[in-house]
Amino acid sequence: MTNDPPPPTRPPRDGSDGPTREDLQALAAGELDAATARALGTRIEADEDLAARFAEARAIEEALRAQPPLPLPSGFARRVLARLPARGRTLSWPALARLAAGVVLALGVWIATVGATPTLAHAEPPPVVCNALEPAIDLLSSPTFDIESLTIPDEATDDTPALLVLALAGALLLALGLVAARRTSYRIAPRSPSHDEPEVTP
Amino acid sequence: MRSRAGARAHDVHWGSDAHRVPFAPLAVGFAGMDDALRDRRDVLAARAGDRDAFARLVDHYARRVHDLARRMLRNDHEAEDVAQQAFWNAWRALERFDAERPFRNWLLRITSNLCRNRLAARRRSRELPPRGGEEPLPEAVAPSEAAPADLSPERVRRAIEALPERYRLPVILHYVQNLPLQAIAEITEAPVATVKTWLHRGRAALGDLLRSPETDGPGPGTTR
Repeated sequence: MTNDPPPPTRPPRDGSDGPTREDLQALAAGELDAATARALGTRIEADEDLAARFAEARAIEEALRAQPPLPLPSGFARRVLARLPARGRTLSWPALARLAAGVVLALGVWIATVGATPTLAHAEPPPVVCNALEPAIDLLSSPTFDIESLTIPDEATDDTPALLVLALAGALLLALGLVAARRTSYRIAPRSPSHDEPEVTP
Repeated sequence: MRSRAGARAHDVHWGSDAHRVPFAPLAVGFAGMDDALRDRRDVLAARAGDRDAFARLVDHYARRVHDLARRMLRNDHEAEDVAQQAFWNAWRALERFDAERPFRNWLLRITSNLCRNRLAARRRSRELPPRGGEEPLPEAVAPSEAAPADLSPERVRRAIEALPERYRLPVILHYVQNLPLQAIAEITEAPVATVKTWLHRGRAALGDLLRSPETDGPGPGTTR
């Protein structure tokens, strides 16, 4: 062991330049490879000062391992269990989003494939509807009424834009549902040096 | 290297059945398998809504979880909060947990993340000084080469709690909770080599702390 200032780079672990305190602690922790440990052990045997420092490192190691667990507050488990919510039968919001997306998509597909826009053309209106329609019938039969003003342009009857919107909405909802499901699956944020990252909790 | 007696002492501390079986190294392995099988069974049952199964998991891991939270946060009330929250989060996320993985590691990962969040919140609220790189060692005093280390359990506990956060977690998991490097790597989501580095530096810092005359009181937010 010399009193020279430590070199800028880490000294070799065999202790040829004098083992550092970290080397001794690594030896006490059993972390050195066999050859390095043997070399260091030889030096320790020949040097009383080193032997004393190694004994201290070993004592620290043993004191760390002998650290008893801290007492658990009484009633802790009971308090934990009392706080637990009921399990498993409620739908989370990602599940709801997926469900909504499915419904919208199914509706879009049904409209697109069956093309069955609901019509009441051949249905018998109930009496209450007939009564409600009377003012409209009066209006239609008035001489000043211009039927042309009620003509619906042909393109407005085309279902394509509505179907497109439905399909897009469905796809958007489905994508949102999938993203939400991914984000809420329990993943621990990667460790950063500052450990400041927020935790993703369910 | 860990002595057989040391391994037994820790297993008894943390509620493992290892002490019932002779030949500690083998016993630890068998106990680990038993624990894993038991945990898997309880996790699957709890996932199906069996609160008794989850109660068994709580009983088995409450001490570990609370101990980790208490040592990380240095505050009894916050430790209780975080430990309860960890179990609550685990209960809520059980369906997404891979039951083939060790439940203990997953639970301790949840706990350590909650602790980090709590510590980060403290820093943001200026209860702790903002940190550029690492937390400075509290009231650090240059260790004396000749000073014998004070190794009383209480002093060692305070020294562990005074470690920078980055080293405190692996040191607690390795030395206090007796976990292997692979488990610590899984909990911290870091490579094993990184865990070794943290332990190496943490041990060096601990040595300095234990050799220094203790001039500081309890850590921030500590209640005793």
